[in-house]
Amino acid sequence: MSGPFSDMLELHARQQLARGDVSGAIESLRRVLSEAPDEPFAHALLAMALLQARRRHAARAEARAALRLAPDLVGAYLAMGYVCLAFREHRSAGDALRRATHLAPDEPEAHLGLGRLEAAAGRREAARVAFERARALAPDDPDPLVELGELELEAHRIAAARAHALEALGAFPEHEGALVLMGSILLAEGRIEEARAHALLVLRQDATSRRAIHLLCAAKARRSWFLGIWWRWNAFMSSLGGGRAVTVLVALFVAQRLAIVALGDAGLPRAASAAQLAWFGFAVYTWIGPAVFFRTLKKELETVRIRADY
Amino acid sequence: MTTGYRIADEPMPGRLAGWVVNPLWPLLAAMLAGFWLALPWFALNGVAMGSATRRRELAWIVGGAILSAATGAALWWAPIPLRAFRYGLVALVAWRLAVAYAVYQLQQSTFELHQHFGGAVRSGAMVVVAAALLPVSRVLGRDGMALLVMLVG
Repeated sequence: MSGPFSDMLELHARQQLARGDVSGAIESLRRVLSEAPDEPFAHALLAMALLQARRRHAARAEARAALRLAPDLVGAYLAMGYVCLAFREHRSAGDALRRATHLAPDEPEAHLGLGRLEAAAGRREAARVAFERARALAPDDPDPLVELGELELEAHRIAAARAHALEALGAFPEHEGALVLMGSILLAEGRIEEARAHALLVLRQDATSRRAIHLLCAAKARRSWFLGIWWRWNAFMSSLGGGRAVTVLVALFVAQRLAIVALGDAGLPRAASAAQLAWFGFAVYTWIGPAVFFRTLKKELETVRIRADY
Repeated sequence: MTTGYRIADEPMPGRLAGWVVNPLWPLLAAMLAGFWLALPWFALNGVAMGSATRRRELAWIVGGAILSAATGAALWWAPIPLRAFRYGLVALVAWRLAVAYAVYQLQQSTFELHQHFGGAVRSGAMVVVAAALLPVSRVLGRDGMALLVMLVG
C-alpha cells in the first residue's frame, strides 16, 4: 500500500535518524504507517527510532510487527536483535542478529550488531572479529572503527584505542562517535579539560547527542569527588535497569532498618543511631547530588554555541 | 494528543486528562502520608493519562493493597512478641515501598510521553503536604490511627 509520498517520508525518516533527530523520525514514520500500516520496513525503522528514544517496549512491538509482515526482512531481524540487546536478552538477540547475517552475509550493519552483542556479553575477541568483518565490508564507514576503539578502551589499551579514533577522525573529522571516543580516551588519561572540549565540540553540531552529554557529565564528575560519587552510584544503578535498581534500593532500605532494630535489641543504641544517621545522610546526598549535578551541567550546556547549520 | 498510527506505549488520555500529576507525587504520598492516599492516586493518575501499562499498574496496586492489609492485620492481631512485630513492620514498610516504586516506574515512562505530547500536568505538592499534616490521630485516637497505619498506612 506504500506510495511515493510514503517512500519519500521513509527516506526522510532515515535521514532524520542518521542526523540524530529521533523525535522527527518517529513522527515521519507515524505518518508513513498511518498511510501504509503494513509497510514492514517502516515498522523496523520505527523500532530502531523508538529504541534510540529508550522506548523499549514499543520498539519490541514494532520489531514484532515488521517480522510478522516480512519474515525474511533483514532490517526486521536487525531491529529485533537490537531490541533484545536493550532488554539484555542476549540469546534472543544473538538468534535475531545471526539470522540477519545469514540472510545478508555482506550487510555490515548485521555484523556491527553482532559485534555490539558480543561486546555487551563480555566476549571481546568475538566482538573484535565481528567489528573487523563489518569494517572489511564497509571500509568507508567510521562506525566499526569507533566500536573497535571502544573495545580497546574497555580493555585499557589506550594506544590501540587512540589509533582507531585517529583513523576514524582522519576520514571523518566531525564524526560524533569518533569525537566522543577520543574524548573518552582523553578522560581515561586524566586530561579532563580536553575531554570536556571534545564533548562540547559534538554538542555544537548536535545539541541532543546523548553520548556527548554522557562524556560531559563524566568529565564534570571527575572534577569533584562530591559529584563523582553520585555519578558512579547513578551509573551503577542505571546499569542494573529499572526493576533491579528498585530491588537494590529496597534491599538497602530493609538492611538499614534491620540493622537499626538489631542494634537496638543488642543494647547498642548509639550504633543504631549512627546507622540511622548514615541512612539519612545517604538519602539527603542522593537528593542533593543530582540537583547540584544537573544545575552545573545546565550552566555548562547554556554556554554551548550551537553551529548555524544545526 | 497524536493522530494516525498509534505506537504501543503512547498514552490515550480521556476525560480525566486534566488531573494528571507527575507520578513522583503519589510516590512521595506513599512515603509521607501512606498507602491509603498513594494507591488510589496512582490508579487515578494511570486512568487520567490513559497509561498503556495501566493493567499492570492496577495489578500492582490491587495486589499491593491486599498483601499490605493482610500483613498489617496479621501483625496487629496475631499474638507475636514485640521483637518479631518490629521485624515484621520492616517487611511491611519495604513491601509498600516496593509497590509504590514499581507503579512509579511504570507510570514514569507514560508520564514522559504525556509531557512530550503537551499534555496538561497538575502539581500534587499541596495534596501531599495536606495529607502528611492531616491530624488523623485526633479523629481516630492513637489506637485507631495505629490500626489504620497497619492496614492501609
